[in-house]
Amino acid sequence: MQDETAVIAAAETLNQEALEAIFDEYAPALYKYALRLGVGSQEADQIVGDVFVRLLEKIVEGKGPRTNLRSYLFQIAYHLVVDQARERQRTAPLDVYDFMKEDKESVQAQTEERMLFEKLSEAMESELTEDQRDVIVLRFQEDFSLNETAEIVGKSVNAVKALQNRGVNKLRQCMSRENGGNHG
Amino acid sequence: MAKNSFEHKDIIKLLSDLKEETPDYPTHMMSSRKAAFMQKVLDTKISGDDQSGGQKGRKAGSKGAGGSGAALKGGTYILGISLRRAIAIGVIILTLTAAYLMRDQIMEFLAENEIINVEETAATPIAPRSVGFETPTPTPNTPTLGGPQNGSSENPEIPGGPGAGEGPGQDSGEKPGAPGAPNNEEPGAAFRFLFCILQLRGLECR
Repeated sequence: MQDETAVIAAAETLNQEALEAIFDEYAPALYKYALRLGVGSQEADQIVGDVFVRLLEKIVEGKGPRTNLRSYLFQIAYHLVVDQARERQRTAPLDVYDFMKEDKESVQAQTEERMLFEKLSEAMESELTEDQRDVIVLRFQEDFSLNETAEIVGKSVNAVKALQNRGVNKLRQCMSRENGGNHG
Repeated sequence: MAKNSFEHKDIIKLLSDLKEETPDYPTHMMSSRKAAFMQKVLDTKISGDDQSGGQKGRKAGSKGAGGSGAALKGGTYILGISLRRAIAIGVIILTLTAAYLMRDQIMEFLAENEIINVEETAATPIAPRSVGFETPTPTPNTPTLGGPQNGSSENPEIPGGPGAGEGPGQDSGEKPGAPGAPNNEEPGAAFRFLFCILQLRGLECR
Protein backbone atom coordinates (compact mmCIF):
# COMPACT_ATOMS: atom_id res chain seq x y z
CA MET A 1 0.00 0.00 0.00
CA GLN A 2 1.59 3.20 -1.20
CA ASP A 3 0.19 5.87 1.03
CA GLU A 4 -1.51 4.44 4.07
CA THR A 5 -2.76 7.81 5.30
CA ALA A 6 -4.50 8.51 1.98
CA VAL A 7 -6.05 5.06 1.98
CA ILE A 8 -7.32 5.51 5.53
CA ALA A 9 -8.76 8.90 4.61
CA ALA A 10 -10.52 7.38 1.61
CA ALA A 11 -11.80 4.48 3.71
CA GLU A 12 -13.32 6.95 6.17
CA THR A 13 -15.58 8.14 3.36
CA LEU A 14 -16.54 4.49 2.72
CA ASN A 15 -14.68 4.53 -0.58
CA GLN A 16 -15.12 1.01 -1.96
CA GLU A 17 -11.81 0.93 -3.78
CA ALA A 18 -9.88 1.91 -0.68
CA LEU A 19 -11.66 -0.65 1.48
CA GLU A 20 -11.12 -3.32 -1.15
CA ALA A 21 -7.42 -2.50 -1.25
CA ILE A 22 -7.22 -2.78 2.53
CA PHE A 23 -8.90 -6.16 2.43
CA ASP A 24 -6.57 -7.47 -0.28
CA GLU A 25 -3.56 -6.23 1.60
CA TYR A 26 -4.31 -7.54 5.07
CA ALA A 27 -6.78 -10.41 4.83
CA PRO A 28 -4.16 -13.10 4.02
CA ALA A 29 -1.87 -11.94 6.84
CA LEU A 30 -4.75 -11.89 9.30
CA TYR A 31 -5.78 -15.38 8.25
CA LYS A 32 -2.28 -16.70 8.85
CA TYR A 33 -2.02 -14.88 12.14
CA ALA A 34 -5.21 -16.54 13.33
CA LEU A 35 -3.86 -19.92 12.29
CA ARG A 36 -0.61 -19.27 14.16
CA LEU A 37 -2.58 -18.55 17.28
CA GLY A 38 -4.09 -22.02 17.01
CA VAL A 39 -7.38 -21.28 15.32
CA GLY A 40 -8.79 -23.66 12.70
CA SER A 41 -9.08 -22.63 9.06
CA GLN A 42 -12.84 -22.10 9.15
CA GLU A 43 -12.62 -20.07 12.32
CA ALA A 44 -9.69 -18.09 10.93
CA ASP A 45 -11.80 -17.20 7.90
CA GLN A 46 -14.59 -16.12 10.22
CA ILE A 47 -12.18 -14.01 12.22
CA VAL A 48 -10.99 -12.27 9.07
CA GLY A 49 -14.59 -11.38 8.24
CA ASP A 50 -15.22 -10.16 11.77
CA VAL A 51 -12.09 -8.01 11.72
CA PHE A 52 -13.22 -6.13 8.62
CA VAL A 53 -16.78 -5.78 9.82
CA ARG A 54 -15.42 -4.29 13.06
CA LEU A 55 -13.23 -1.95 11.01
CA LEU A 56 -16.27 -0.80 9.07
CA GLU A 57 -18.24 -0.19 12.24
CA LYS A 58 -15.43 1.87 13.72
CA ILE A 59 -15.16 3.93 10.55
CA VAL A 60 -18.90 4.64 10.59
CA GLU A 61 -18.65 5.65 14.27
CA GLY A 62 -15.79 7.97 13.41
CA LYS A 63 -13.41 5.95 15.58
CA GLY A 64 -11.40 4.36 12.81
CA PRO A 65 -7.63 4.13 12.70
CA ARG A 66 -5.57 7.23 12.05
CA THR A 67 -2.18 5.59 11.52
CA ASN A 68 -0.65 2.10 11.48
CA LEU A 69 -3.59 0.28 9.97
CA ARG A 70 -1.79 -3.06 10.13
CA SER A 71 -1.27 -2.86 13.87
CA TYR A 72 -4.89 -1.75 14.27
CA LEU A 73 -6.25 -4.73 12.33
CA PHE A 74 -4.02 -7.22 14.16
CA GLN A 75 -5.15 -5.77 17.45
CA ILE A 76 -8.78 -6.47 16.51
CA ALA A 77 -7.85 -9.97 15.39
CA TYR A 78 -5.91 -10.62 18.59
CA HIS A 79 -8.88 -9.69 20.77
CA LEU A 80 -11.24 -11.79 18.67
CA VAL A 81 -8.95 -14.81 18.96
CA VAL A 82 -8.53 -14.32 22.70
CA ASP A 83 -12.30 -14.06 23.14
CA GLN A 84 -12.80 -17.15 21.04
CA ALA A 85 -10.13 -19.05 22.99
CA ARG A 86 -11.82 -18.16 26.26
CA GLU A 87 -15.09 -19.37 24.86
CA ARG A 88 -13.54 -22.61 23.70
CA GLN A 89 -11.83 -23.25 27.03
CA ARG A 90 -15.25 -23.84 28.53
CA THR A 91 -15.96 -26.70 26.13
CA ALA A 92 -12.66 -28.00 24.80
CA PRO A 93 -8.94 -27.38 25.38
CA LEU A 94 -7.20 -24.94 23.08
CA ASP A 95 -5.58 -26.79 20.20
CA VAL A 96 -2.63 -24.83 18.92
CA TYR A 97 -1.19 -25.19 15.46
CA ASP A 98 -3.80 -27.46 14.02
CA PHE A 99 -2.46 -26.86 10.55
CA MET A 100 0.81 -28.53 11.47
CA LYS A 101 -1.01 -31.62 12.72
CA GLU A 102 -3.16 -31.74 9.61
CA ASP A 103 -0.07 -31.69 7.45
CA LYS A 104 1.73 -34.31 9.53
CA GLU A 105 -0.25 -37.21 8.19
CA SER A 106 -0.14 -36.07 4.58
CA VAL A 107 3.60 -35.60 4.43
CA GLN A 108 5.30 -38.93 3.92
CA ALA A 109 8.95 -37.98 3.97
CA GLN A 110 9.53 -35.62 6.86
CA THR A 111 12.75 -33.72 6.72
CA GLU A 112 14.84 -32.91 9.72
CA GLU A 113 13.79 -29.30 9.52
CA ARG A 114 10.13 -30.26 9.50
CA MET A 115 10.66 -32.35 12.61
CA LEU A 116 12.19 -29.33 14.27
CA PHE A 117 9.18 -27.26 13.31
CA GLU A 118 6.87 -29.83 14.76
CA LYS A 119 8.81 -29.94 18.00
CA LEU A 120 8.85 -26.18 18.15
CA SER A 121 5.11 -26.05 17.54
CA GLU A 122 4.45 -28.61 20.22
CA ALA A 123 6.70 -26.71 22.62
CA MET A 124 4.82 -23.49 21.91
CA GLU A 125 1.59 -25.29 22.64
CA SER A 126 2.63 -27.12 25.78
CA GLU A 127 5.38 -25.05 27.37
CA LEU A 128 4.38 -21.45 26.83
CA THR A 129 1.67 -19.49 28.48
CA GLU A 130 -0.88 -17.81 26.24
CA ASP A 131 0.67 -14.40 26.81
CA GLN A 132 4.16 -15.67 25.96
CA ARG A 133 2.90 -17.37 22.82
CA ASP A 134 0.97 -14.29 21.68
CA VAL A 135 4.02 -12.07 22.14
CA ILE A 136 6.37 -14.49 20.37
CA VAL A 137 4.04 -14.90 17.40
CA LEU A 138 3.66 -11.13 17.04
CA ARG A 139 7.34 -10.43 17.50
CA PHE A 140 9.01 -13.20 15.46
CA GLN A 141 6.35 -14.37 13.04
CA GLU A 142 4.40 -11.20 12.33
CA ASP A 143 7.47 -8.99 12.72
CA PHE A 144 5.87 -6.34 14.89
CA SER A 145 8.09 -4.05 16.94
CA LEU A 146 8.08 -4.07 20.72
CA ASN A 147 5.91 -0.96 20.81
CA GLU A 148 3.41 -2.34 18.31
CA THR A 149 3.25 -5.67 20.12
CA ALA A 150 2.68 -3.89 23.41
CA GLU A 151 -0.12 -1.90 21.83
CA ILE A 152 -1.78 -4.95 20.31
CA VAL A 153 -1.77 -7.08 23.45
CA GLY A 154 -2.45 -4.12 25.71
CA LYS A 155 0.64 -4.42 27.88
CA SER A 156 3.67 -2.28 28.60
CA VAL A 157 6.82 -2.59 26.56
CA ASN A 158 8.72 -3.94 29.56
CA ALA A 159 6.09 -6.56 30.15
CA VAL A 160 6.31 -7.58 26.50
CA LYS A 161 10.10 -7.80 26.78
CA ALA A 162 9.83 -10.01 29.84
CA LEU A 163 7.23 -12.27 28.21
CA GLN A 164 9.36 -12.55 25.10
CA ASN A 165 12.56 -13.47 26.99
CA ARG A 166 10.85 -16.01 29.21
CA GLY A 167 9.10 -17.58 26.23
CA VAL A 168 12.22 -17.87 24.13
CA ASN A 169 14.16 -19.34 27.06
CA LYS A 170 11.48 -21.92 27.63
CA LEU A 171 11.49 -22.89 23.97
CA ARG A 172 15.26 -23.09 23.95
CA GLN A 173 15.35 -25.36 26.99
CA CYS A 174 12.59 -27.53 25.62
CA MET A 175 14.18 -27.91 22.20
CA SER A 176 17.58 -28.67 23.76
CA ARG A 177 16.00 -31.26 26.03
CA GLU A 178 14.07 -32.86 23.19
CA ASN A 179 17.06 -33.04 20.89
CA GLY A 180 19.32 -34.25 23.68
CA GLY A 181 16.83 -36.95 24.50
CA ASN A 182 16.57 -38.02 20.88
CA HIS A 183 20.28 -38.27 20.46
CA GLY A 184 21.08 -39.59 23.89
CA MET B 1 20.69 -28.61 11.91
CA ALA B 2 20.31 -31.23 14.58
CA LYS B 3 22.03 -30.13 17.71
CA ASN B 4 21.72 -30.70 21.40
CA SER B 5 21.79 -27.05 22.55
CA PHE B 6 19.91 -24.15 21.06
CA GLU B 7 20.90 -20.55 21.38
CA HIS B 8 18.50 -17.66 21.60
CA LYS B 9 19.10 -16.67 17.97
CA ASP B 10 18.47 -20.26 16.82
CA ILE B 11 15.03 -20.27 18.33
CA ILE B 12 14.25 -16.91 16.75
CA LYS B 13 15.38 -18.19 13.38
CA LEU B 14 13.30 -21.31 13.77
CA LEU B 15 10.27 -19.22 14.67
CA SER B 16 10.86 -17.01 11.66
CA ASP B 17 11.15 -20.02 9.38
CA LEU B 18 8.09 -21.60 10.90
CA LYS B 19 5.89 -18.80 9.60
CA GLU B 20 6.60 -19.98 6.08
CA GLU B 21 4.92 -23.23 6.97
CA THR B 22 1.64 -21.53 7.61
CA PRO B 23 -0.78 -22.31 4.79
CA ASP B 24 -2.11 -19.48 2.66
CA TYR B 25 -5.64 -18.16 2.73
CA PRO B 26 -7.60 -20.45 0.39
CA THR B 27 -8.65 -18.48 -2.67
CA HIS B 28 -12.29 -19.51 -2.62
CA MET B 29 -12.66 -18.64 1.05
CA MET B 30 -10.96 -15.31 0.60
CA SER B 31 -13.04 -14.33 -2.44
CA SER B 32 -16.32 -15.18 -0.78
CA ARG B 33 -15.26 -13.32 2.36
CA LYS B 34 -14.26 -10.33 0.29
CA ALA B 35 -17.57 -10.34 -1.58
CA ALA B 36 -19.44 -10.41 1.71
CA PHE B 37 -17.34 -7.54 3.01
CA MET B 38 -17.86 -5.40 -0.07
CA GLN B 39 -21.60 -6.04 0.11
CA LYS B 40 -21.49 -4.91 3.72
CA VAL B 41 -19.65 -1.76 2.66
CA LEU B 42 -22.30 -1.07 0.03
CA ASP B 43 -25.15 -1.62 2.49
CA THR B 44 -23.51 0.63 5.04
CA LYS B 45 -23.01 3.33 2.45
CA ILE B 46 -26.63 3.11 1.28
CA SER B 47 -27.99 3.18 4.80
CA GLY B 48 -25.72 6.15 5.55
CA ASP B 49 -27.10 7.98 2.53
CA ASP B 50 -30.64 7.18 3.61
CA GLN B 51 -29.95 8.48 7.08
CA SER B 52 -28.49 11.73 5.78
CA GLY B 53 -31.43 12.06 3.37
CA GLY B 54 -33.80 11.36 6.20
CA GLN B 55 -32.20 14.07 8.28
CA LYS B 56 -32.63 16.55 5.43
CA GLY B 57 -36.23 15.45 5.05
CA ARG B 58 -36.85 15.89 8.75
CA LYS B 59 -35.40 19.40 8.60
CA ALA B 60 -37.66 20.29 5.67
CA GLY B 61 -40.60 18.72 7.44
CA SER B 62 -39.98 20.76 10.54
CA LYS B 63 -39.91 23.91 8.43
CA GLY B 64 -43.21 23.10 6.71
CA ALA B 65 -44.97 21.82 9.76
CA GLY B 66 -47.14 24.89 10.28
CA GLY B 67 -50.36 22.90 10.03
CA SER B 68 -49.49 20.46 12.71
CA GLY B 69 -48.15 23.29 14.85
CA ALA B 70 -51.41 25.17 14.47
CA ALA B 71 -53.35 22.07 15.37
CA LEU B 72 -51.16 21.67 18.42
CA LYS B 73 -51.73 25.28 19.40
CA GLY B 74 -55.49 24.88 18.88
CA GLY B 75 -55.54 21.80 21.05
CA THR B 76 -53.66 23.65 23.76
CA TYR B 77 -56.06 26.57 23.53
CA ILE B 78 -59.10 24.32 23.91
CA LEU B 79 -57.45 22.56 26.79
CA GLY B 80 -56.74 25.94 28.41
CA ILE B 81 -60.35 27.04 28.13
CA SER B 82 -61.61 23.76 29.54
CA LEU B 83 -59.17 24.04 32.40
CA ARG B 84 -60.29 27.59 33.18
CA ARG B 85 -63.93 26.54 33.17
CA ALA B 86 -63.21 23.62 35.44
CA ILE B 87 -61.34 25.89 37.85
CA ALA B 88 -64.19 28.43 37.86
CA ILE B 89 -66.79 25.73 38.53
CA GLY B 90 -64.61 24.34 41.29
CA VAL B 91 -64.28 27.75 42.93
CA ILE B 92 -68.06 28.28 42.81
CA ILE B 93 -68.71 24.86 44.32
CA LEU B 94 -66.19 25.50 47.07
CA THR B 95 -67.71 28.90 47.82
CA LEU B 96 -71.22 27.52 48.05
CA THR B 97 -70.06 24.64 50.23
CA ALA B 98 -68.26 27.02 52.56
CA ALA B 99 -71.31 29.28 52.71
CA TYR B 100 -73.52 26.32 53.57
CA LEU B 101 -71.18 25.08 56.29
CA MET B 102 -70.78 28.60 57.76
CA ARG B 103 -74.38 29.67 57.40
CA ASP B 104 -74.75 30.22 61.15
CA GLN B 105 -71.82 32.56 61.31
CA ILE B 106 -73.04 34.39 58.23
CA MET B 107 -76.48 34.90 59.64
CA GLU B 108 -75.02 36.10 62.95
CA PHE B 109 -72.80 38.53 61.11
CA LEU B 110 -75.71 39.88 59.09
CA ALA B 111 -77.84 40.24 62.19
CA GLU B 112 -75.12 42.02 64.13
CA ASN B 113 -74.63 44.48 61.35
CA GLU B 114 -78.39 44.98 61.01
CA ILE B 115 -78.33 44.00 57.43
CA ILE B 116 -81.22 41.72 58.26
CA ASN B 117 -83.57 42.70 61.04
CA VAL B 118 -83.88 39.65 63.18
CA GLU B 119 -85.69 40.09 66.42
CA GLU B 120 -84.76 38.02 69.35
CA THR B 121 -87.80 36.29 70.62
CA ALA B 122 -88.38 33.61 73.13
CA ALA B 123 -88.59 30.08 72.11
CA THR B 124 -91.75 29.73 70.18
CA PRO B 125 -93.69 26.65 70.91
CA ILE B 126 -95.88 25.82 68.02
CA ALA B 127 -99.51 26.32 68.66
CA PRO B 128 -101.25 23.04 69.16
CA ARG B 129 -103.71 22.09 66.59
CA SER B 130 -106.86 20.29 67.03
CA VAL B 131 -106.44 16.73 66.07
CA GLY B 132 -109.21 14.36 65.60
CA PHE B 133 -111.93 14.58 68.15
CA GLU B 134 -109.99 16.38 70.77
CA THR B 135 -111.59 19.44 72.05
CA PRO B 136 -109.64 22.41 70.99
CA THR B 137 -108.31 24.33 73.91
CA PRO B 138 -106.97 27.80 73.90
CA THR B 139 -103.23 28.06 74.12
CA PRO B 140 -102.26 30.46 76.79
CA ASN B 141 -99.22 32.66 76.66
CA THR B 142 -98.65 32.15 73.02
CA PRO B 143 -95.95 34.60 72.08
CA THR B 144 -96.73 37.33 69.73
CA LEU B 145 -95.44 36.92 66.29
CA GLY B 146 -95.28 39.45 63.63
CA GLY B 147 -93.38 42.17 65.36
CA PRO B 148 -94.11 44.37 68.33
CA GLN B 149 -97.67 44.93 68.88
CA ASN B 150 -99.56 46.67 71.56
CA GLY B 151 -102.37 44.96 73.31
CA SER B 152 -102.68 42.07 75.58
CA SER B 153 -104.84 39.75 73.67
CA GLU B 154 -104.74 36.29 75.09
CA ASN B 155 -105.34 34.76 71.77
CA PRO B 156 -102.41 34.92 69.49
CA GLU B 157 -102.91 36.81 66.40
CA ILE B 158 -101.97 34.67 63.54
CA PRO B 159 -102.25 36.67 60.43
CA GLY B 160 -103.73 34.97 57.53
CA GLY B 161 -104.56 31.94 59.57
CA PRO B 162 -107.87 30.30 59.66
CA GLY B 163 -110.22 32.61 61.31
CA ALA B 164 -107.74 35.32 61.56
CA GLY B 165 -108.42 37.59 64.46
CA GLU B 166 -110.32 34.87 66.19
CA GLY B 167 -108.88 32.25 68.43
CA PRO B 168 -109.56 28.70 67.72
CA GLY B 169 -112.40 27.27 69.53
CA GLN B 170 -114.22 30.54 69.62
CA ASP B 171 -117.67 30.07 68.39
CA SER B 172 -118.49 33.32 66.76
CA GLY B 173 -121.33 31.95 64.80
CA GLU B 174 -119.68 32.83 61.61
CA LYS B 175 -118.04 30.55 59.11
CA PRO B 176 -114.33 30.79 59.24
CA GLY B 177 -112.75 32.62 56.42
CA ALA B 178 -110.86 31.01 53.67
CA PRO B 179 -107.49 29.79 54.86
CA GLY B 180 -104.78 32.26 54.24
CA ALA B 181 -107.16 34.94 53.14
CA PRO B 182 -105.95 38.28 54.30
CA ASN B 183 -108.04 40.11 56.70
CA ASN B 184 -109.46 43.34 55.44
CA GLU B 185 -108.65 44.99 58.72
CA GLU B 186 -104.95 44.31 58.30
CA PRO B 187 -103.91 44.72 54.67
CA GLY B 188 -100.18 44.01 55.25
CA ALA B 189 -100.81 40.83 57.18
CA ALA B 190 -99.66 38.55 54.38
CA PHE B 191 -96.41 40.35 54.12
CA ARG B 192 -95.94 40.26 57.83
CA PHE B 193 -96.69 36.57 57.81
CA LEU B 194 -94.00 35.93 55.25
CA PHE B 195 -91.59 38.06 57.21
CA CYS B 196 -92.37 36.11 60.33
CA ILE B 197 -91.65 32.88 58.52
CA LEU B 198 -88.33 34.26 57.47
CA GLN B 199 -87.58 35.32 61.01
CA LEU B 200 -88.60 31.94 62.32
CA ARG B 201 -86.32 30.23 59.91
CA GLY B 202 -83.54 32.50 61.02
CA LEU B 203 -84.10 31.58 64.62
CA GLU B 204 -84.24 27.89 63.76
CA CYS B 205 -80.89 28.21 62.13
CA ARG B 206 -79.55 29.64 65.33
